Amino acid sequence: MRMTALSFISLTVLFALCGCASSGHYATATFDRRFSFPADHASHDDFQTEWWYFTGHLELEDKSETGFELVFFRRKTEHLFRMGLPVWWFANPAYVSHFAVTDPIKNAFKFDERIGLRMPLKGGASSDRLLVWSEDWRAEAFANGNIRLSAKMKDYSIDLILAPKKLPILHGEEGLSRKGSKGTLGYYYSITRLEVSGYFMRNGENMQVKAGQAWMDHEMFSGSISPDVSGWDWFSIQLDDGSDLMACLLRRDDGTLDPFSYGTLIRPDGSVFRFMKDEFSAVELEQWTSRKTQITYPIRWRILLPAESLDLILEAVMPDQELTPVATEIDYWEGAMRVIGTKGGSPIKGKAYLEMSGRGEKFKI
Amino acid sequence: MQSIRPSFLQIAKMNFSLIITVLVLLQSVCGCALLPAEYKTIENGGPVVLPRDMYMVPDYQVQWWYYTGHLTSEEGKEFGFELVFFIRRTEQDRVLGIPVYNYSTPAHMAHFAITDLQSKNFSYSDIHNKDFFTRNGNAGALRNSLCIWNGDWSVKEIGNLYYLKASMPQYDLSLALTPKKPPILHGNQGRFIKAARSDKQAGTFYITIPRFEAEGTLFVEQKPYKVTGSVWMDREFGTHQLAKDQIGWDWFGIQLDNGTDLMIYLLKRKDGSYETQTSCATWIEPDGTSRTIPFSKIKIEKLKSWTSPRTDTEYTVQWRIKIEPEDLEMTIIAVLNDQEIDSSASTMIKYWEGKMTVNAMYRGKEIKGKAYLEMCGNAHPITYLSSFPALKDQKS
Repeated sequence: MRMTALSFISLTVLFALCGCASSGHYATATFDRRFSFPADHASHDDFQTEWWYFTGHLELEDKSETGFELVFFRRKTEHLFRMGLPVWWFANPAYVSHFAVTDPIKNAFKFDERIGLRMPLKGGASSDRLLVWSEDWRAEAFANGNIRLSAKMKDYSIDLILAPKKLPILHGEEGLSRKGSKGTLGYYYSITRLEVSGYFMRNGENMQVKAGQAWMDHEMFSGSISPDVSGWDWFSIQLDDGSDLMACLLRRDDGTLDPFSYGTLIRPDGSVFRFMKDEFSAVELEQWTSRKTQITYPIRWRILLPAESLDLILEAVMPDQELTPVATEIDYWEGAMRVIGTKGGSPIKGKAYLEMSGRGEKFKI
Repeated sequence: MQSIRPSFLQIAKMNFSLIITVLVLLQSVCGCALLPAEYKTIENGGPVVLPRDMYMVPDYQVQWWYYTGHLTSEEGKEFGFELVFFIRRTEQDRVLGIPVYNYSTPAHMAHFAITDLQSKNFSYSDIHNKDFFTRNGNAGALRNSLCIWNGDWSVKEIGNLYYLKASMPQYDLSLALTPKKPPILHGNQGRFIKAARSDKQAGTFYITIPRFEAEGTLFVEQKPYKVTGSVWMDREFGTHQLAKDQIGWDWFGIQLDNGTDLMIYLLKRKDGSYETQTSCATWIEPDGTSRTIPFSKIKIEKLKSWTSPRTDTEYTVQWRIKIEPEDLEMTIIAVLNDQEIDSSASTMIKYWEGKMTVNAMYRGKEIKGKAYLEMCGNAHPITYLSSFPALKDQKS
């Protein structure tokens, strides 16, 4: 459940002009869909909005706990305006991509973006297989199921092979979830653990990735999130005992959580426990305020899932992991986290990524 | 034929001229001494140790990783490609009298070519330390794993697979290669002699992985094609590889449909004849066992030639080659006549490297295959893979 930055080319303008997002001629997520893999890793062109999200933790030769985020958005642009101009004249769909690196060795967090708008269109996605690109950044799956990610920015580049270690997990009801009480329905599944190998380049020096683990999300939907939802906090947690946890909090304007906040736990044996808002809690423990945007983000959290006797503390690898992309005009925080805690009373450790959106300006889509 | 000259190349060339101008001025101030350098050769280097010698080796003057392959899209479109990375130590090199190490050490160069059978189009691009002014020219190679990059072009070993990436304005290639045969050591345990004298031997260490299964994506004019195919890889490193009277070579990498692969290396002399002593072939069985076939057992007939209108150079584009001990007779025909590369922006060689089809009789049965052919020295003598005209200054 992640819509960060998805209001590609100022949806605020769109909403001001149109009042609401029309999903009339797009496909709608329904309960009777059966997912099939790897075919469903490909692009679903009949949906208005789709994204592929990769986050991960790398161990390099220098033993750092390096984090990366690489996301590709596909967005149909009918009804979409920017500066009074119809976006669909230029690109439909539009492909936007964000790439971020968390580098504790250099105490650096860097991000960049690609807008597949340059003519001829330099973004695209295949509807036959997982192949999505925006200019020179790309995610591409091979026949053995492995996925190659390549992206570069000024000081960093990645060329990674992600090997799935678990089957795709459907969130919500058979992959279907509601984007807030008054929001649209969407499909969402994850590959919660992929083994990472490949190369990481810092300042022109390539380094072999010694070990690493990644998480992949794929979502598609048409229409918009509940209008009273201002943003969300999304967690992807990988524990050292082999269990993985996704949790998504939909924050409403009045400070309460939308009842469609939910999550999924994948136990080490592969069995799945799906839970809703009242079955878990997420407590903010420590704040950090961005100097750039003046937005305050919680960077330490406690997550409790009583049914599984899970009690976790999440702590940002570094406070500043805020992205302020230009094209999407949505500031958000997405960063690598360390995890410590207990499971059934015994200590446990892990790694996580956290995404927080809508903490400054209200998020609209 | 359409030669793609991307803008970065022109920029690189401009930079190149600029640097040279600056260096000419500097030179008058600083002098122009070359650096002393002791390179290892096939006489005092080796033996080949794998996998170490597949990675960058620092002690030799020149080395390369050569990938050629045959690709077919799901729709049945056919393509050939060449992607090669060169690294050359430059302590002993000059361009226009100026020591090269001042601006490029080592020099990283790369060539990328696509033969597009649909459009009958041959396109290529060549680069020398792409992004000239950035640190390392944004090119490099690792010594502890197979990882070579030059700008956005790269070959990287990840897991047990090899990943290639290269692009030019019209084409963008990304491949995953699964090796189907072990590395083959040519000559004597990889010591491949090209010039034999009573006092001196010259050549390279030469290793081939003759067959990979390839899969990936080729973008043609921004449209992605899913491709599969077979790829050949050559790895050579050495110092002083040719003799004075040798001007180049004709090289074949042949993949027969029965799983046999064949490398043929013909060294060309100034008088147009082939070197009888060192020219040879390596026969590689489907299971990866290999043996050398001497030149005396190879019968070569040149059937048809083509002359490049740009360089006025003549190349043989149809061949008949007999490997007598194996009872194999092949007719090898270029899929396009014009697969000539002018690498003046990088290695400064004009050569021909192209995709070929093979029709053969093998022990009385018809058999087909694919090949790549490289013809070097037709346009001008190749002096030690001489990237730089300055090498003519060197004594052999």
